[in-house]
Amino acid sequence: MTFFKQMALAISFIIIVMLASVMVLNYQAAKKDMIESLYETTVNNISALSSKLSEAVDDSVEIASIIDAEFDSGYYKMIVYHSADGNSDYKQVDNEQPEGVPQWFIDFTDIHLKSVRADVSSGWSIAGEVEVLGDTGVIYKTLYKMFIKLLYLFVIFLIIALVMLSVMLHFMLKPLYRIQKQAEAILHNEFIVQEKLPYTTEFRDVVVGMNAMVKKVEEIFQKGNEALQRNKELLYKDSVTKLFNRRYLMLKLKDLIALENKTNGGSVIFIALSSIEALNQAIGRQKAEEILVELAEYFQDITKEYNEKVIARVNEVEFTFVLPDCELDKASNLAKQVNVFFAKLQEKYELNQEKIFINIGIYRYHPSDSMGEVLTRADSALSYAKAKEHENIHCFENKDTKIAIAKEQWRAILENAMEHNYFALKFWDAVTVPQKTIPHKVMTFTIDNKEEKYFYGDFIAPAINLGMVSKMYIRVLEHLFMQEHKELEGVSCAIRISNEFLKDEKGYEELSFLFEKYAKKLRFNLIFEVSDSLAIHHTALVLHYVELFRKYGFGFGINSFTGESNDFTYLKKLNPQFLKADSAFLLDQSQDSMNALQLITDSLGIEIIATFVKDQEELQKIESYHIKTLQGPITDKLLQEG
Amino acid sequence: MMKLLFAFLLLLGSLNAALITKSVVKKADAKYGVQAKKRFFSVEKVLLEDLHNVSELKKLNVVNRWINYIKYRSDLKLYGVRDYWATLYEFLGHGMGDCEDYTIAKYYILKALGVEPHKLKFTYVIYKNKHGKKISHMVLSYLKVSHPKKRSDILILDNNNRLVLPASKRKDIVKVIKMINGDTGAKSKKWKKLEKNMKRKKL
Repeated sequence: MTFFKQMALAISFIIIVMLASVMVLNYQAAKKDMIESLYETTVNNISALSSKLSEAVDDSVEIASIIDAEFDSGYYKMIVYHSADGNSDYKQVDNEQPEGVPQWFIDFTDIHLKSVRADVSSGWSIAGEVEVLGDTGVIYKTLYKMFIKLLYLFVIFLIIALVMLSVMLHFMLKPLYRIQKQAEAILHNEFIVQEKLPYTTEFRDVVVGMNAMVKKVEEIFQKGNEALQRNKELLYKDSVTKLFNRRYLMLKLKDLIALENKTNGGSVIFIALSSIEALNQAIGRQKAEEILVELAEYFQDITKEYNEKVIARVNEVEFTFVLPDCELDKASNLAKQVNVFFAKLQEKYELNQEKIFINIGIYRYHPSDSMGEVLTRADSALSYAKAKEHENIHCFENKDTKIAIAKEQWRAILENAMEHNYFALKFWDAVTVPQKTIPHKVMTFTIDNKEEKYFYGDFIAPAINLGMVSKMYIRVLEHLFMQEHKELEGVSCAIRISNEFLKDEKGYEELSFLFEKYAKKLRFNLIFEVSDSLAIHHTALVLHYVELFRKYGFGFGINSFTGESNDFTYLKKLNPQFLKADSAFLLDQSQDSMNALQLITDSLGIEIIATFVKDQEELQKIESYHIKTLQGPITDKLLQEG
Repeated sequence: MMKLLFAFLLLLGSLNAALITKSVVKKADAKYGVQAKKRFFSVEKVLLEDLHNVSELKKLNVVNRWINYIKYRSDLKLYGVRDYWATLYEFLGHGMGDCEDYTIAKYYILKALGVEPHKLKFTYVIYKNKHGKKISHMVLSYLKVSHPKKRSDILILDNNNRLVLPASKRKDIVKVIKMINGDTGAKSKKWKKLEKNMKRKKL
């Protein structure tokens, strides 16, 4: 219960008690006064009545008539005359209930009025006694009217008091509400500093304290961010061109080859300068470096359209472009542009074209290619280019047999799979050590139509190409939501969402609709994963999805983390539950880099999860980085060991 | 438009204020039968309509005589209680009542005929019947002057006498216990109740 509600309840209770007390006291005082007043009036009346009766003590008819007359012309409950000899007793009683007063009120009020007695004398003798009881009906009626009026007043006053209380509390507790929001934000690893300090001393102290805490955490994050950038620069950047180095290329290459895209693969361009020594000799080391920097800037410039790419200087004379989703003709065009640009440089720096020139080898790869194959084939293309007499560019493409399936055939396969739900879901464990618990399982899917089986890597490119990714994902998610999965009992299910799905506008709407329909019925929690490169280059889009996930109570994480970004504030914006990074990447980091990364993740409450952990040796190293959750071939072994 | 509305409301009020209304006759017919309905019609026609422009003395005589045609019945027998002040409507409806009911009926009819209510007093008396027995009794007194000095200035409308006689000629009324005002004076509990019942035309 909120503080506001508690305060409102407590104060309402006090108001009610106060008002009720006033009401009861008022009622009791009025009741007492009225009874006393009635008694006194009765005493006054009996005096006159007994005098009249004294004149008629010998005549019982007259006594009756006097009593009747008195009774009819006043407010009496009872008038009784007891004659001394018992011969002329007479009684008038009104036993009617007071009109307009409910029985419960009569029972509740319970008025006991004493009757008044007076002697009736005849000369020196006492002829009898008259007893008069005032009409309590008047008191009941008056008290009841008063009670109703008080009740109305009580209700009106209570409503006014509660409204005023609500306004007052709302005003007084506004700073507390802001503190609550700030506290909630801190819990969600969002860092809000309250600029406006509350007027109330206690609240102001709390806000000052929280602001200081937020600023400290923010500083920790910034320090981590800067340190990580510095380490990244040292570890993965070429000091002259500021391009990535070979080490980084080797780290990223596997992910880039496997990246899902429309063209089912990409291009690798090797550019080799004939001789750095010749260049240095010709124009001097400083100018040679200028040429290299100009080249690097040009490389970046012409590949702007490729978000997910790596351009690296792999050694003194060789540059490598890895451009996913870049087809051979486009790569060839880029190579030609580089050629033209280098020709201009030759002219500008008056270089000997016989001695200082470049060769370009291009290889069009497919996701099924291994890293070794890609590098060997690109290198082979470069060798061909070097061997050519009249041309310095050579392109090579290895035709993938599976891609040979025609576009329309893929459409049929995918449509068939969606219609008949041929998607087979598979769940891979993420394991937390040393407890060996399973925090979540990662879902992947294949198409299995009994005759043929297609892996995710086989059909994702055609699905993207045919614009069927969103529909396919929705169908798979529907399959996941609608069917019971024993594997998911007690654990969360992580789903890696394709970049293409997230980029599709329809995807968002369809996902919203799906969540609306199934979210409440789900028996397991969901965590959606997006790739680090998408999170970096499309932060706003990913944030839009993150808000959708959170609206339905689903988690969010980032996978394929390679520290690609120069600024990690996107993590602060997106606030993922975890970062999944390839163990090869993690193991390649220096202690300083890991410390900086952990500083960032700890300040944001993000867990680092190592993926593709192969063996015990890797596991030990990973554990030394205080990483507790793992994925990869080692997990089965760990779980078997129990 | 407003004037018309005001006139309509006034008419509606006066219709309801009339002593005998169609609605009360209809209800009396339903509750007490056709004889009761006739009594209501008679009061309306013979008393309230025909006596409108006659002298007060004639009004007193005719009303007294007409009302006295109604049979006497004690409250205990009629209503099961020792003392009950019936409305004019109950009295006409039952076609019987005790001395107080006669007095009340006469009072309201005379008031409706324009007799000044201050002149009419509910009077508690001791009445001696023809066997010499004293009875506690109520009559309606009509004061010819506002402060009567002589008994002859007071006329008595009594259910035991079809004639309206001056008090001086009513030797059977041996003592006057009390005279009280009708609905114009201080209202006792009984009066308040009667007035309320009259207003809602209790049958």
